[in-house]
Amino acid sequence: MSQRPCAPLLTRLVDEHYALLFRYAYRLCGSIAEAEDLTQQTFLTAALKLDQLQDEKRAKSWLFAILRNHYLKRVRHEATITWETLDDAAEHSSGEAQEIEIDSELLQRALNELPEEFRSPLILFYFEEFSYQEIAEHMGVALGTVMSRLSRGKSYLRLRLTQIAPVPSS
Amino acid sequence: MNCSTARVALELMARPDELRGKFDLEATVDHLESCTECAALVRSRRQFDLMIADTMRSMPVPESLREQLLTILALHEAQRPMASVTRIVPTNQLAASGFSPRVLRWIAIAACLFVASAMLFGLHLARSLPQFPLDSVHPHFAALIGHNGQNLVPFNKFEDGQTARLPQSHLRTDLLQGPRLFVLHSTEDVWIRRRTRHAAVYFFELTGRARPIPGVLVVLTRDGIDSASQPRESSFLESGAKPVTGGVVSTWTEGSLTYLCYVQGTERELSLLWQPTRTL
Repeated sequence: MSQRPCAPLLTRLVDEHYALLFRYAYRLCGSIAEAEDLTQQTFLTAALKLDQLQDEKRAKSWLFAILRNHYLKRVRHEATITWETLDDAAEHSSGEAQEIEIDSELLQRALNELPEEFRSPLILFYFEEFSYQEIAEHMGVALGTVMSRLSRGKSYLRLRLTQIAPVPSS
Repeated sequence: MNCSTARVALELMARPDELRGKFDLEATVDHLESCTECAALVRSRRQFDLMIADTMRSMPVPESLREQLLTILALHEAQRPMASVTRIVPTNQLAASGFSPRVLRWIAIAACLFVASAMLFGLHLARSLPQFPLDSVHPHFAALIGHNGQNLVPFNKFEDGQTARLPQSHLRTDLLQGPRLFVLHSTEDVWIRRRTRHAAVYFFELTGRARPIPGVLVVLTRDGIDSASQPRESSFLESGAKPVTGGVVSTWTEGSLTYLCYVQGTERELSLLWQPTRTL
Protein backbone atom coordinates (compact mmCIF):
# COMPACT_ATOMS: atom_id res chain seq x y z
CA MET A 1 0.00 0.00 0.00
CA SER A 2 1.36 3.39 -0.89
CA GLN A 3 1.63 5.79 1.98
CA ARG A 4 0.48 9.35 1.80
CA PRO A 5 2.57 11.63 3.96
CA CYS A 6 0.57 12.80 6.92
CA ALA A 7 -0.70 16.36 7.00
CA PRO A 8 1.94 19.05 7.66
CA LEU A 9 0.18 20.15 10.82
CA LEU A 10 0.17 16.61 12.16
CA THR A 11 3.85 16.21 11.39
CA ARG A 12 4.54 19.45 13.18
CA LEU A 13 2.54 18.34 16.19
CA VAL A 14 4.47 15.09 16.33
CA ASP A 15 7.81 16.87 16.07
CA GLU A 16 6.99 19.38 18.76
CA HIS A 17 5.20 17.26 21.30
CA TYR A 18 5.88 13.56 20.92
CA ALA A 19 8.80 13.44 23.36
CA LEU A 20 6.99 15.29 26.11
CA LEU A 21 3.84 13.26 25.52
CA PHE A 22 5.80 10.04 25.73
CA ARG A 23 7.41 11.11 29.00
CA TYR A 24 4.07 12.16 30.39
CA ALA A 25 2.58 8.82 29.33
CA TYR A 26 5.48 6.93 30.85
CA ARG A 27 5.21 8.76 34.13
CA LEU A 28 1.46 8.14 34.15
CA CYS A 29 1.57 4.42 33.45
CA GLY A 30 5.13 3.40 34.34
CA SER A 31 5.64 1.23 31.29
CA ILE A 32 7.61 2.11 28.17
CA ALA A 33 5.51 -0.10 25.91
CA GLU A 34 2.28 1.28 27.28
CA ALA A 35 3.62 4.82 27.03
CA GLU A 36 4.45 4.28 23.34
CA ASP A 37 0.98 2.88 22.83
CA LEU A 38 -0.66 5.82 24.58
CA THR A 39 1.40 8.30 22.55
CA GLN A 40 0.39 6.59 19.36
CA GLN A 41 -3.27 6.51 20.35
CA THR A 42 -3.07 10.17 21.18
CA PHE A 43 -1.84 11.16 17.74
CA LEU A 44 -4.32 8.89 15.98
CA THR A 45 -7.14 10.54 17.91
CA ALA A 46 -5.64 13.92 17.12
CA ALA A 47 -5.59 13.03 13.43
CA LEU A 48 -9.27 12.14 13.55
CA LYS A 49 -10.28 15.23 15.47
CA LEU A 50 -7.85 17.72 14.05
CA ASP A 51 -10.69 19.97 12.95
CA GLN A 52 -11.48 20.52 16.63
CA LEU A 53 -8.16 22.23 17.12
CA GLN A 54 -9.09 25.85 16.63
CA ASP A 55 -5.82 27.35 17.82
CA GLU A 56 -2.51 25.64 17.26
CA LYS A 57 -1.12 27.39 20.33
CA ARG A 58 -3.38 25.20 22.41
CA ALA A 59 -2.22 22.03 20.73
CA LYS A 60 -0.03 20.96 23.65
CA SER A 61 -2.85 21.12 26.21
CA TRP A 62 -5.18 19.47 23.73
CA LEU A 63 -2.80 16.57 23.10
CA PHE A 64 -2.10 16.09 26.80
CA ALA A 65 -5.84 16.01 27.48
CA ILE A 66 -6.33 13.36 24.77
CA LEU A 67 -3.52 11.27 26.22
CA ARG A 68 -4.88 11.55 29.73
CA ASN A 69 -8.35 10.53 28.55
CA HIS A 70 -6.92 7.44 26.88
CA TYR A 71 -5.01 6.62 30.02
CA LEU A 72 -8.05 7.09 32.25
CA LYS A 73 -10.08 4.77 30.04
CA ARG A 74 -7.46 2.11 30.59
CA VAL A 75 -7.27 2.43 34.33
CA ARG A 76 -10.89 3.21 35.05
CA HIS A 77 -11.16 0.27 37.39
CA GLU A 78 -7.71 0.57 38.86
CA ALA A 79 -7.69 0.76 42.64
CA THR A 80 -6.49 4.01 44.07
CA ILE A 81 -4.85 4.70 47.35
CA THR A 82 -6.80 6.39 50.07
CA TRP A 83 -6.81 10.06 50.94
CA GLU A 84 -5.83 9.21 54.48
CA THR A 85 -2.47 7.98 53.29
CA LEU A 86 -1.74 11.29 51.60
CA ASP A 87 -2.92 13.22 54.62
CA ASP A 88 -0.56 11.16 56.75
CA ALA A 89 2.22 11.93 54.33
CA ALA A 90 1.51 15.63 54.50
CA GLU A 91 1.74 15.56 58.26
CA HIS A 92 5.03 13.71 58.18
CA SER A 93 6.49 16.14 55.69
CA SER A 94 6.73 19.05 58.06
CA GLY A 95 10.35 18.22 58.70
CA GLU A 96 13.21 19.02 56.40
CA ALA A 97 13.76 16.59 53.55
CA GLN A 98 16.88 14.51 53.63
CA GLU A 99 19.66 14.69 51.05
CA ILE A 100 18.82 11.94 48.61
CA GLU A 101 19.73 10.45 45.26
CA ILE A 102 16.62 10.12 43.15
CA ASP A 103 16.48 7.02 41.07
CA SER A 104 14.16 7.11 38.05
CA GLU A 105 12.60 3.74 38.82
CA LEU A 106 12.09 4.61 42.45
CA LEU A 107 10.46 7.86 41.40
CA GLN A 108 8.21 5.93 39.05
CA ARG A 109 7.20 3.51 41.76
CA ALA A 110 6.31 6.41 44.02
CA LEU A 111 4.30 8.03 41.24
CA ASN A 112 2.51 4.77 40.54
CA GLU A 113 1.41 4.64 44.14
CA LEU A 114 -0.34 7.96 43.81
CA PRO A 115 -3.87 8.27 42.55
CA GLU A 116 -4.03 9.68 39.04
CA GLU A 117 -5.58 12.95 40.22
CA PHE A 118 -2.39 13.58 42.21
CA ARG A 119 0.01 12.05 39.72
CA SER A 120 -1.04 14.09 36.68
CA PRO A 121 -0.59 17.54 38.21
CA LEU A 122 2.74 16.51 39.68
CA ILE A 123 4.05 15.31 36.33
CA LEU A 124 2.79 18.40 34.55
CA PHE A 125 4.26 20.60 37.26
CA TYR A 126 7.68 19.02 37.11
CA PHE A 127 7.78 19.16 33.34
CA GLU A 128 7.58 22.92 33.87
CA GLU A 129 5.55 23.16 30.71
CA PHE A 130 2.27 24.02 32.32
CA SER A 131 1.07 26.80 34.55
CA TYR A 132 -1.14 26.05 37.51
CA GLN A 133 -4.05 27.42 35.54
CA GLU A 134 -3.29 25.13 32.59
CA ILE A 135 -3.02 22.16 34.91
CA ALA A 136 -6.37 23.11 36.43
CA GLU A 137 -7.95 23.28 32.97
CA HIS A 138 -6.31 20.05 31.97
CA MET A 139 -7.64 18.28 35.04
CA GLY A 140 -10.99 20.03 34.94
CA VAL A 141 -10.67 21.22 38.55
CA ALA A 142 -10.34 24.54 40.34
CA LEU A 143 -6.98 26.26 40.70
CA GLY A 144 -7.08 25.83 44.47
CA THR A 145 -7.63 22.11 44.05
CA VAL A 146 -4.56 21.89 41.84
CA MET A 147 -2.47 23.69 44.43
CA SER A 148 -3.73 21.47 47.19
CA ARG A 149 -3.07 18.31 45.22
CA LEU A 150 0.37 19.53 44.22
CA SER A 151 1.27 20.32 47.78
CA ARG A 152 0.11 16.97 49.08
CA GLY A 153 1.56 15.07 46.16
CA LYS A 154 4.95 16.68 46.56
CA SER A 155 4.90 15.97 50.28
CA TYR A 156 4.15 12.37 49.58
CA LEU A 157 6.94 12.11 47.01
CA ARG A 158 9.47 13.64 49.40
CA LEU A 159 8.53 11.21 52.11
CA ARG A 160 8.31 8.22 49.83
CA LEU A 161 11.66 8.89 48.23
CA THR A 162 13.36 9.41 51.55
CA GLN A 163 11.75 6.19 52.83
CA ILE A 164 9.86 8.03 55.52
CA ALA A 165 6.41 7.54 54.13
CA PRO A 166 4.65 4.24 54.71
CA VAL A 167 3.85 2.21 51.62
CA PRO A 168 0.29 3.25 50.83
CA SER A 169 -2.38 0.65 50.81
CA SER A 170 -4.79 0.31 47.93
CA MET B 1 3.25 35.01 59.55
CA ASN B 2 4.00 31.77 61.32
CA CYS B 3 6.12 28.93 59.95
CA SER B 4 3.17 26.72 59.07
CA THR B 5 1.49 29.36 56.87
CA ALA B 6 4.77 30.34 55.29
CA ARG B 7 5.60 26.77 54.36
CA VAL B 8 2.28 26.28 52.59
CA ALA B 9 2.98 29.38 50.54
CA LEU B 10 6.57 28.40 49.92
CA GLU B 11 5.49 25.01 48.65
CA LEU B 12 3.90 26.75 45.73
CA MET B 13 6.43 29.52 45.29
CA ALA B 14 7.76 27.98 42.08
CA ARG B 15 5.12 29.95 40.20
CA PRO B 16 4.89 33.17 42.25
CA ASP B 17 3.09 35.09 39.50
CA GLU B 18 0.13 32.81 39.79
CA LEU B 19 -0.04 33.09 43.53
CA ARG B 20 -0.65 36.81 43.80
CA GLY B 21 -3.85 37.44 45.72
CA LYS B 22 -3.89 33.97 47.18
CA PHE B 23 -0.96 34.37 49.56
CA ASP B 24 0.79 37.30 51.08
CA LEU B 25 4.01 36.74 49.21
CA GLU B 26 5.85 39.71 50.69
CA ALA B 27 5.07 38.53 54.19
CA THR B 28 6.23 35.05 53.24
CA VAL B 29 9.53 36.41 51.91
CA ASP B 30 9.95 38.49 55.06
CA HIS B 31 9.35 35.41 57.15
CA LEU B 32 11.89 33.47 55.13
CA GLU B 33 14.54 36.11 55.81
CA SER B 34 13.95 35.96 59.52
CA CYS B 35 13.47 32.19 59.98
CA THR B 36 16.53 30.09 59.27
CA GLU B 37 14.62 26.84 59.70
CA CYS B 38 12.10 27.76 57.00
CA ALA B 39 14.89 29.09 54.75
CA ALA B 40 16.69 25.76 55.01
CA LEU B 41 13.47 23.94 54.32
CA VAL B 42 12.84 26.01 51.21
CA ARG B 43 16.36 25.35 49.91
CA SER B 44 15.93 21.66 50.53
CA ARG B 45 12.57 21.54 48.80
CA ARG B 46 13.79 23.46 45.81
CA GLN B 47 16.71 21.13 45.48
CA PHE B 48 14.34 18.20 45.72
CA ASP B 49 12.02 19.68 43.10
CA LEU B 50 14.93 20.24 40.74
CA MET B 51 16.06 16.67 41.14
CA ILE B 52 12.58 15.32 40.54
CA ALA B 53 12.14 17.55 37.49
CA ASP B 54 15.53 16.48 36.09
CA THR B 55 14.71 12.83 36.64
CA MET B 56 11.32 13.16 35.00
CA ARG B 57 12.62 15.07 32.00
CA SER B 58 15.62 12.82 31.57
CA MET B 59 13.47 9.84 30.71
CA PRO B 60 14.92 8.70 27.35
CA VAL B 61 12.48 8.61 24.45
CA PRO B 62 12.76 5.56 22.15
CA GLU B 63 14.72 6.57 19.06
CA SER B 64 12.28 5.01 16.66
CA LEU B 65 9.18 6.54 18.23
CA ARG B 66 8.99 9.58 15.97
CA GLU B 67 9.33 7.57 12.76
CA GLN B 68 6.91 5.02 14.12
CA LEU B 69 4.32 7.71 14.81
CA LEU B 70 4.72 9.34 11.41
CA THR B 71 4.45 5.99 9.66
CA ILE B 72 1.31 5.04 11.53
CA LEU B 73 -0.25 8.43 10.86
CA ALA B 74 0.63 8.20 7.17
CA LEU B 75 -0.92 4.72 6.97
CA HIS B 76 -3.95 6.01 8.78
CA GLU B 77 -4.25 8.87 6.31
CA ALA B 78 -3.96 6.48 3.38
CA GLN B 79 -6.72 4.26 4.73
CA ARG B 80 -9.18 7.05 5.32
CA PRO B 81 -11.90 7.47 2.67
CA MET B 82 -11.45 10.48 0.44
CA ALA B 83 -14.77 11.92 1.61
CA SER B 84 -13.37 12.41 5.06
CA VAL B 85 -10.09 13.92 3.99
CA THR B 86 -11.52 17.38 4.32
CA ARG B 87 -12.08 16.69 8.01
CA ILE B 88 -8.37 16.69 8.69
CA VAL B 89 -7.82 20.07 7.16
CA PRO B 90 -7.37 22.27 10.17
CA THR B 91 -9.72 25.15 10.61
CA ASN B 92 -7.00 27.72 10.43
CA GLN B 93 -5.92 26.42 7.01
CA LEU B 94 -9.49 26.52 5.76
CA ALA B 95 -9.73 30.04 7.02
CA ALA B 96 -6.56 30.80 5.11
CA SER B 97 -8.39 29.85 1.90
CA GLY B 98 -10.35 33.09 2.24
CA PHE B 99 -13.74 31.54 2.96
CA SER B 100 -15.46 31.46 6.28
CA PRO B 101 -16.53 28.03 7.57
CA ARG B 102 -20.16 29.02 6.93
CA VAL B 103 -19.43 29.81 3.27
CA LEU B 104 -17.40 26.63 2.93
CA ARG B 105 -20.33 24.64 4.28
CA TRP B 106 -22.65 26.14 1.68
CA ILE B 107 -20.11 25.47 -1.05
CA ALA B 108 -19.95 21.85 0.07
CA ILE B 109 -23.76 21.58 0.02
CA ALA B 110 -23.92 23.15 -3.44
CA ALA B 111 -21.26 20.73 -4.68
CA CYS B 112 -23.24 17.79 -3.33
CA LEU B 113 -26.42 19.05 -5.02
CA PHE B 114 -24.57 19.54 -8.30
CA VAL B 115 -23.19 15.99 -8.19
CA ALA B 116 -26.63 14.59 -7.35
CA SER B 117 -28.22 16.55 -10.23
CA ALA B 118 -25.55 15.36 -12.64
CA MET B 119 -26.19 11.76 -11.58
CA LEU B 120 -29.95 12.14 -12.07
CA PHE B 121 -29.43 13.73 -15.48
CA GLY B 122 -27.09 10.90 -16.45
CA LEU B 123 -29.66 8.36 -15.32
CA HIS B 124 -32.33 10.13 -17.36
CA LEU B 125 -30.07 10.11 -20.42
CA ALA B 126 -29.32 6.43 -20.00
CA ARG B 127 -32.99 5.61 -19.75
CA SER B 128 -33.91 7.67 -22.79
CA LEU B 129 -31.34 6.00 -25.05
CA PRO B 130 -32.75 3.59 -27.64
CA GLN B 131 -32.99 0.14 -26.21
CA PHE B 132 -34.91 -2.98 -26.59
CA PRO B 133 -38.47 -1.85 -26.07
CA LEU B 134 -39.47 -4.33 -23.47
CA ASP B 135 -36.34 -4.54 -21.41
CA SER B 136 -37.30 -1.92 -18.94
CA VAL B 137 -40.91 -2.99 -18.76
CA HIS B 138 -41.15 -6.58 -17.83
CA PRO B 139 -38.14 -8.81 -17.62
CA HIS B 140 -40.04 -11.99 -18.39
CA PHE B 141 -41.76 -10.43 -21.36
CA ALA B 142 -38.52 -9.03 -22.67
CA ALA B 143 -36.81 -12.35 -22.26
CA LEU B 144 -39.53 -14.13 -24.15
CA ILE B 145 -39.28 -11.90 -27.17
CA GLY B 146 -35.70 -10.75 -27.12
CA HIS B 147 -34.31 -14.25 -26.83
CA ASN B 148 -36.97 -15.95 -28.82
CA GLY B 149 -34.44 -17.87 -30.84
CA GLN B 150 -33.86 -20.21 -27.98
CA ASN B 151 -37.55 -20.89 -27.48
CA LEU B 152 -36.95 -21.91 -23.92
CA VAL B 153 -37.14 -19.34 -21.25
CA PRO B 154 -37.33 -20.39 -17.64
CA PHE B 155 -40.64 -19.52 -16.13
CA ASN B 156 -42.20 -20.12 -12.82
CA LYS B 157 -45.64 -21.52 -13.17
CA PHE B 158 -48.01 -23.03 -10.83
CA GLU B 159 -50.13 -26.10 -11.24
CA ASP B 160 -53.82 -26.32 -10.76
CA GLY B 161 -54.50 -29.95 -10.35
CA GLN B 162 -53.52 -31.72 -13.53
CA THR B 163 -53.91 -28.64 -15.67
CA ALA B 164 -50.90 -26.44 -16.32
CA ARG B 165 -51.84 -22.86 -15.75
CA LEU B 166 -50.24 -19.64 -16.75
CA PRO B 167 -47.54 -18.02 -14.76
CA GLN B 168 -49.17 -15.68 -12.39
CA SER B 169 -47.16 -12.74 -13.71
CA HIS B 170 -49.07 -12.99 -16.96
CA LEU B 171 -52.23 -12.09 -15.19
CA ARG B 172 -50.97 -8.72 -14.06
CA THR B 173 -51.28 -6.28 -16.88
CA ASP B 174 -49.98 -3.38 -14.84
CA LEU B 175 -46.53 -4.88 -15.03
CA LEU B 176 -46.62 -4.53 -18.78
CA GLN B 177 -47.09 -0.81 -18.86
CA GLY B 178 -44.20 1.48 -19.25
CA PRO B 179 -42.56 4.08 -21.44
CA ARG B 180 -41.84 1.59 -24.25
CA LEU B 181 -44.92 -0.54 -24.07
CA PHE B 182 -48.47 0.26 -23.37
CA VAL B 183 -50.97 -2.48 -22.85
CA LEU B 184 -54.12 -1.16 -24.42
CA HIS B 185 -56.12 -3.70 -22.59
CA SER B 186 -55.94 -7.29 -21.63
CA THR B 187 -58.54 -9.92 -21.22
CA GLU B 188 -59.19 -11.71 -18.05
CA ASP B 189 -57.41 -15.02 -18.17
CA VAL B 190 -59.64 -17.10 -20.38
CA TRP B 191 -60.35 -20.67 -21.34
CA ILE B 192 -60.10 -20.81 -25.09
CA ARG B 193 -61.65 -24.19 -25.15
CA ARG B 194 -63.49 -25.16 -22.06
CA ARG B 195 -61.03 -26.55 -19.60
CA THR B 196 -58.47 -27.28 -22.25
CA ARG B 197 -56.70 -24.06 -23.03
CA HIS B 198 -56.16 -21.49 -20.45
CA ALA B 199 -54.91 -18.24 -21.92
CA ALA B 200 -54.13 -14.63 -21.23
CA VAL B 201 -54.43 -12.06 -23.99
CA TYR B 202 -52.67 -8.72 -24.08
CA PHE B 203 -53.30 -6.02 -26.62
CA PHE B 204 -50.39 -3.69 -26.58
CA GLU B 205 -48.64 -0.91 -28.34
CA LEU B 206 -44.92 -0.54 -28.66
CA THR B 207 -44.36 3.11 -28.06
CA GLY B 208 -41.41 5.47 -28.18
CA ARG B 209 -41.05 5.12 -31.90
CA ALA B 210 -41.95 7.09 -35.01
CA ARG B 211 -45.31 5.48 -34.89
CA PRO B 212 -46.77 3.18 -32.27
CA ILE B 213 -46.70 -0.47 -33.28
CA PRO B 214 -49.79 -2.33 -32.14
CA GLY B 215 -49.63 -5.97 -31.28
CA VAL B 216 -51.15 -8.71 -29.29
CA LEU B 217 -49.67 -11.43 -27.20
CA VAL B 218 -51.48 -14.58 -26.34
CA VAL B 219 -50.12 -16.95 -23.76
CA LEU B 220 -51.84 -20.28 -23.60
CA THR B 221 -51.27 -23.84 -22.65
CA ARG B 222 -49.50 -25.83 -25.25
CA ASP B 223 -51.90 -28.73 -25.63
CA GLY B 224 -52.84 -29.27 -29.24
CA ILE B 225 -50.90 -26.29 -30.54
CA ASP B 226 -48.17 -26.76 -33.09
CA SER B 227 -45.18 -24.82 -32.03
CA ALA B 228 -43.34 -22.89 -34.66
CA SER B 229 -40.21 -21.05 -33.72
CA GLN B 230 -39.92 -19.13 -36.95
CA PRO B 231 -42.02 -16.01 -37.44
CA ARG B 232 -44.40 -16.23 -40.30
CA GLU B 233 -46.69 -13.78 -41.98
CA SER B 234 -50.20 -14.34 -41.04
CA SER B 235 -53.14 -12.58 -39.65
CA PHE B 236 -54.54 -12.49 -36.29
CA LEU B 237 -58.14 -12.51 -35.44
CA GLU B 238 -59.15 -10.74 -32.38
CA SER B 239 -62.21 -12.33 -31.08
CA GLY B 240 -65.19 -10.10 -31.65
CA ALA B 241 -63.22 -7.58 -33.68
CA LYS B 242 -62.23 -6.96 -37.24
CA PRO B 243 -59.54 -9.26 -38.60
CA VAL B 244 -56.21 -7.59 -38.68
CA THR B 245 -53.91 -8.43 -41.54
CA GLY B 246 -50.48 -7.53 -42.75
CA GLY B 247 -48.70 -8.42 -39.58
CA VAL B 248 -46.36 -11.03 -38.31
CA VAL B 249 -47.11 -13.73 -35.87
CA SER B 250 -44.33 -15.27 -33.93
CA THR B 251 -44.98 -18.34 -31.91
CA TRP B 252 -42.79 -20.14 -29.55
CA THR B 253 -43.10 -22.51 -26.72
CA GLU B 254 -41.72 -22.85 -23.29
CA GLY B 255 -42.46 -25.94 -21.33
CA SER B 256 -46.17 -26.45 -21.45
CA LEU B 257 -46.89 -22.90 -22.59
CA THR B 258 -47.21 -21.49 -26.04
CA TYR B 259 -46.79 -17.86 -26.92
CA LEU B 260 -48.30 -16.16 -29.89
CA CYS B 261 -47.13 -12.65 -30.54
CA TYR B 262 -48.63 -10.63 -33.31
CA VAL B 263 -47.15 -7.34 -34.37
CA GLN B 264 -48.34 -5.26 -37.28
CA GLY B 265 -45.69 -4.91 -39.93
CA THR B 266 -43.47 -7.08 -42.06
CA GLU B 267 -41.12 -9.78 -40.96
CA ARG B 268 -38.23 -7.42 -41.63
CA GLU B 269 -39.81 -4.80 -39.47
CA LEU B 270 -40.29 -7.35 -36.79
CA SER B 271 -36.67 -8.45 -36.99
CA LEU B 272 -35.61 -4.82 -36.75
CA LEU B 273 -37.80 -4.48 -33.77
CA TRP B 274 -35.71 -7.01 -31.95
CA GLN B 275 -32.56 -5.03 -32.56
CA PRO B 276 -31.95 -3.23 -29.31
CA THR B 277 -30.56 0.03 -30.59
CA ARG B 278 -32.39 0.57 -33.82
CA THR B 279 -35.63 2.28 -34.47
CA LEU B 280 -38.12 1.56 -37.18
